[in-house]
Amino acid sequence: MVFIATALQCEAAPIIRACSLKKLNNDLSWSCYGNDSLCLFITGVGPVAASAAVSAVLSKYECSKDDCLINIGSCCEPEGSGDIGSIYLINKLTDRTTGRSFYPDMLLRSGLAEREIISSPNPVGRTEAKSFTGEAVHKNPLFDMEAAFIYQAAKYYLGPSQISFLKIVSDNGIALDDSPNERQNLALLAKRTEELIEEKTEQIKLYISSISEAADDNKSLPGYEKTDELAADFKCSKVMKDSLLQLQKYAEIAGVDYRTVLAKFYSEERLPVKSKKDGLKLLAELKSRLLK
Amino acid sequence: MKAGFFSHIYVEKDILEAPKTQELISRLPNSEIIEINHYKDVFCRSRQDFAKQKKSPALILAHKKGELIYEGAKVCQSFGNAHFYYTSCIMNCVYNCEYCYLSGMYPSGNIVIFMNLEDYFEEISRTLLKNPMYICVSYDTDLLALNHLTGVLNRWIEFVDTKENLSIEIRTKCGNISSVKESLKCCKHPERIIFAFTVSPEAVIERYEKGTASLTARLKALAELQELKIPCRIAFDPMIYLPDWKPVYEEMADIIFKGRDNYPKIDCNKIFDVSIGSFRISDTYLKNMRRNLPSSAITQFPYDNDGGVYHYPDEIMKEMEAYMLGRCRKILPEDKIFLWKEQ
Ligand code: SF4
Repeated sequence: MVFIATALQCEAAPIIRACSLKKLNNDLSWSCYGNDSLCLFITGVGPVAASAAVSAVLSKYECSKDDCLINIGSCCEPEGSGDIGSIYLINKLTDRTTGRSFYPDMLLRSGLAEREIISSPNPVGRTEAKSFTGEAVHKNPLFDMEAAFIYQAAKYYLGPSQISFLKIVSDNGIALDDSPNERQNLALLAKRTEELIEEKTEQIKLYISSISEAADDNKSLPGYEKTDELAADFKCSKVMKDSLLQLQKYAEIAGVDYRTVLAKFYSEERLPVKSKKDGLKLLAELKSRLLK
Repeated sequence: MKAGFFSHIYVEKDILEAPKTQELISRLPNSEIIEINHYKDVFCRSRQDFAKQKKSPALILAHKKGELIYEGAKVCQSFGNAHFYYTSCIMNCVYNCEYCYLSGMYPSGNIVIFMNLEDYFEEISRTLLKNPMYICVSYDTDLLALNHLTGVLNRWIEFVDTKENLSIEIRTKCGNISSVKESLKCCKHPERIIFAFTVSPEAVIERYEKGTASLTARLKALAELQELKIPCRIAFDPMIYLPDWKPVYEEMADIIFKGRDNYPKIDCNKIFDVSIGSFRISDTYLKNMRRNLPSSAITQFPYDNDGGVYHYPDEIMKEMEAYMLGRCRKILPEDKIFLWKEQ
């Protein structure tokens, strides 16, 4: 499963439309949309909302090593280099409150430009943002209010190769520094953000599908469902059962035909065994026959 | 699509501007540079996917603090050297051997290069005042494989020439010595630089030693080094079990000891020594390796556990080692053959 976290409805809407996601009915306090392979959820703004939502969703869906999380959202680019609408893959996240930095693995060739981001619990104005840039970072960073916090919550569930961040520059920190009418400005920014993300949906979809393919490489090994029956027939203790399972795993992987040997044991009525001692002996024989 | 090798270089901010760091970075002009505080911030993150990282490893450039040279552990083959040490100025390897203990030992598949080699040399110089040293310098990595990028081996070779009581061992599965050839030619004490080639049958190389040089290439490199009067050790260690291990190892031994058309001929009289050992691994490492590589026939082999060390069942282990021992005894005197045993 690919989980997608966005902070705002306006960031989610273009992705919901592009991937034809349906509203999911679950008992979570966050809106979730999904299909067979995607689950998008809207976290709300800031560190507490983002961390709580990530924890709740990843626990609810019992995420595993086959899953991954992408945070997609808008960000601010205080240097104002005419970058509005550009999309970036984030390679370094810094938590403004602690100064700690985090590094998601960059194992895919996405073709997207990369940047680092600083996440702050409060909206960052242009002047303020400029004063941060001389600190822990050496490259002109982006700013948002969730990414580093999402990473910190997600790392309890997922590894660094399973978490990634796509950010689209929506402003240069103008709204909060320069306008007397903040509310109206935020509404305009939301509309503008939705349009900017809409323009990038093809790149976003491409990224999501490359992430899904990479996650498929990881699929866990199937279980060995007959082991319980077999272990009972060998009258296995816990340790013997572990050895039997290990032998079975190896034989499957190495293409060693253990089934014929077992079938012979059954046809000669040596299996099921009569005692644990016989089981031990027969298990040793099985091992030496398979590892000639 | 997977990112390429070293598509990203993480650099500790304190060494970012150092000339050696900049020189190395300039050899990888397409890599993304990411500044970090400490290499452990990247290398020691929890829940890393070692196997995935091995396929697209990042490079981490760091400054190593604390102890730099270690006394040999009991699982290391000391080759009769009383003062046996090892050091890791690079952690992790560009190759991807399925049986590699590094995947059980390190939390990450990324490669760390410690840039302060001069501090290693200082520590060695201090110890040399007390006793001679035999140091394995290519322990948790393959230095030769990375040398075209780092030049680290050339610096080691030059350093050995300045110290009387110092010998180094360079363990490798690389088949290309071009990056060290000039340094070796200029070297006044080639007898104190020992190259140890781990050799395996082609079937093992193809299946389990991804990225490493073919047997032919390793033997070619070995023969070239013999011409330069460099002592060369052959390590039949680890020997890897295959259901048809015997004919496979027999063929390899024939190629090495008897020579064969289309294979480089090595001079058996000049073999420095050989080491022999079947694959074994500590239980903690194997546990991690099974998690990292769940569908590998190497990690999932039903080993026996003896006091915390997993090894092939006695019958297989003894037969494999005895076979190779027998082959070596036909060619080499007893004092040049080292059979691994826990010390
Ligand atoms: S060459 Fe050695 S260090 Fe490198 S992967 Fe193979 S076993 Fe590990």
